[in-house]
Amino acid sequence: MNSGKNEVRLRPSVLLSPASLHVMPSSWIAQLHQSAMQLDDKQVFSLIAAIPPEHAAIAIALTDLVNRVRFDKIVNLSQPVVQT
Amino acid sequence: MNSEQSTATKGNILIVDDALDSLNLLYATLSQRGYEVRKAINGSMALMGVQSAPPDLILLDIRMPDMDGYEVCQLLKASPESCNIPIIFLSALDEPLDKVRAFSLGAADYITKPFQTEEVLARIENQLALQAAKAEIRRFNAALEQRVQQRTEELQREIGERQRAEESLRQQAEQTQLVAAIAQRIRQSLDLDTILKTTVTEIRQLLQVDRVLIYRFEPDWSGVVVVESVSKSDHSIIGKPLIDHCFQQGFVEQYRQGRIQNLEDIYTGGLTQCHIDLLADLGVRANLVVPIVQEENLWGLLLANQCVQPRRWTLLEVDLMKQLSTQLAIAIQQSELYHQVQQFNAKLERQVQERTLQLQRSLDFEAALKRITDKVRDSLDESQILQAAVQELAHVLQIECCNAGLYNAELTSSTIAFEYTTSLPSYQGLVVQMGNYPEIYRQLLQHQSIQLCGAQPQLIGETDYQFAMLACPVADDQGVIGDLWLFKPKEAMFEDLEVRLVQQVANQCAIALRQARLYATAQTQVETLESLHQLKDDFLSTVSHELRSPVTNMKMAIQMLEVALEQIKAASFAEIGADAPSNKTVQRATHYLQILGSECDREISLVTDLLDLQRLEAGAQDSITDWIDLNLWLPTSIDAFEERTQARQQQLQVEIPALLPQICSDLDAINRILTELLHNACKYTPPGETITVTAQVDPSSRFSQPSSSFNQSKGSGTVMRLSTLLLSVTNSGVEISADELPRIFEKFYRVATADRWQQGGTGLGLALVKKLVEHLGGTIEARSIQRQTTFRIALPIAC
Repeated sequence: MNSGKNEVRLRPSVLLSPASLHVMPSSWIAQLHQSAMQLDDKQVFSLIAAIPPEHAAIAIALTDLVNRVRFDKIVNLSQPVVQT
Repeated sequence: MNSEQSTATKGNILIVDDALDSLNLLYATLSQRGYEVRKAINGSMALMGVQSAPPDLILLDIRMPDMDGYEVCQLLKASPESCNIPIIFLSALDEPLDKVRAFSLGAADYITKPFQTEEVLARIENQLALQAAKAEIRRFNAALEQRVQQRTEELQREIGERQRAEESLRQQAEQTQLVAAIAQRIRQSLDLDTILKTTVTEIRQLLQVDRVLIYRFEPDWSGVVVVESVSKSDHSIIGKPLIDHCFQQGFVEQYRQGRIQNLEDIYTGGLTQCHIDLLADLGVRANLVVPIVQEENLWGLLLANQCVQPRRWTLLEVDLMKQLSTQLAIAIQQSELYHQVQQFNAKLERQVQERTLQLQRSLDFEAALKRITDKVRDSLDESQILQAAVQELAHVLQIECCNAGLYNAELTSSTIAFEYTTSLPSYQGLVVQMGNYPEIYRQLLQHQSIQLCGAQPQLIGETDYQFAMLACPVADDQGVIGDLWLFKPKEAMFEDLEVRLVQQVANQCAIALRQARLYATAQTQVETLESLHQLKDDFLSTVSHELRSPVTNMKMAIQMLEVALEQIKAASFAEIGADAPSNKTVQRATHYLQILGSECDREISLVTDLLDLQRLEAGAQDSITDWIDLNLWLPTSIDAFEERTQARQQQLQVEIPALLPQICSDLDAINRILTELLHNACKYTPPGETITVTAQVDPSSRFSQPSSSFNQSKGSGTVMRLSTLLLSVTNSGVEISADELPRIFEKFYRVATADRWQQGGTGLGLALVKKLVEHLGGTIEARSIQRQTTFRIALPIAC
């Protein structure tokens, strides 16, 4: 949707690690994992919307992954949290 | 399933394509059309998404790195969760599309890129409609399945119910059988005790309880345990006194109406303390009580007790007890009826026995009467008659004493002449003066018997004992001869039957006594006559002897005279001729002398006959047996009469077999018999008539005893056979009347009209013949019919 203009600016997804998501509550992480597994982009977007503004970078990174249909990466990011 | 969610939108579609542009385009297009759309850029992501949330439809690109569309399709179809999701392949026009492979892998459809939006939508809608239809079918199937399931469950429930019903029926049937079996065992006996015992034993075994009792009510509604069955002897309460202060009258009425006490535990049953104490004292913890009711009457109670533990009585058990109590009531009633019938039978039996006894007694008496009658009639001895009577009477009637009194001719006193006694002292010979007991003897003399009860037998002077006495006159139409007295212990009585027997015996005694007395009188007369006869015979014998000597002398003198006269005749006839007067005198004298001679001969033969007869009658005659040749002897004897019959113009016929055997007999006697018969025949046969003599020997003996006279000849060595000599002499022209015929063998008897030849005779001939025949052991009979008189003689002989 809003693909083209942010693509260049934001490539920080590499920065994302599972630990990056720990700023969010574990239930949120679990919901994110679940939604990613279901390839549910709307749900993932609504979860991203819940990320406080101070962690906008995380939101941007996650939004980028969704836009590139990389649910597999989101699943991987949220997975270790679920496991622990 | 999230099929419901998908109906909110038009459908949930997953698009798998590694080309992001193509992906986003389809995504945008389908989202606009109202589809819920998700995206995946490779196979593994697609699989993950399908696994997490299955879509309604998958649009799958064939050419992808790592895992191509075919492989993804294969994997999806392999999983049961995802195998039903329709897959539409997407393929670029320039790519070779292996449609066969696609369909064989389970693809629903395929779309060629670049695609027409409308075509894509149409295909998607088509697939979704198909899917929806499939889903509908599945739902329908599921609903059907569910209904089938429900129905099956219902059926199973129903089957279960049926089985339960069957089970309960079976239990009922079993219970019925059980009750029937027990009822049968109960009813096997008619003995009440056995019935009750069987019942309690059976019920205790059936219910597996500690104790089963039967309690019977008395008329005052107290009661007693009549029978029990216990698992341990500790539980026994039979014979224990049951004092029930609190068992109110009211219960009786309730039980009569079928009340059942079903008590699981006496302590929790809401009983009064008094009742609890009573039951606890009897060792009852759980109590099941059913009444035994017989036609509205409360006979008793049937109780099942659990002694230690409480026990919940099942409906089945209560029902069983109820049914068994009913059976028991029936059995008790039957038993009681049976007892009544038996008592009735016993009573009947007793009556029959009594009647039989009476009949037997009556028969015995009749037999006794017959026996006594025979005995007293057999005898002509007065003492035997009465002795037999008193003895038999005492014996038959089993009495203490019986005696017979004989009255004197004046009927003033009675002498106890005969007696039979077992306990009383003897009074035989005692003379009772009738005047001392006028009432008794007046009645006896009037031919009436008397019974005296408890009277003292003063008649016989005995005062220590008391007796029942019966006095019965021995009397006939000519008056009372005596009496019979019978004694029984005083408390006894003479029954009518006995009195009648005694009276009949008395009557028989009277007849017998009268006969005996008549016989005695007759006997005396006979003896007198016999002695007179003897005197006469002796006289005759003597006289005959005395007569014979002078007659013999006279005969001799006559013979001498004849000789002398012959000499005179010879001398004087020669001298003076026969016609001389003196010679005529001589001729007359000769004639007279002839008369004198023949009369003298007659006298001699008369005397001889008399003497012979006398000897035969006295039995003094000896017989001498000898061999006789009948072929010689008979003609010789008969020839002697030839001349005489010719002179009287009588025919003499002899009919004898050509050859007669030699016989052994008394020649003199036989000769005399034949001679006398022929003599007799000659005498009575008119001229022109016939005299026939026959003789034959019958080789069979007609006499049971051989004559004793044969014994002498036994030693001769010849085998002797006993035979019979038959002789007969018949003359015609004369008939002796039937009146006279029996008398012709009497001495000196003469047939009135006979003796046409005036031969006289001695009148002893036939008497002599009869005596001689009898002496030889033979028989003679005379018959006279149709002017023919026959004498037939049969003599035992040996030959």
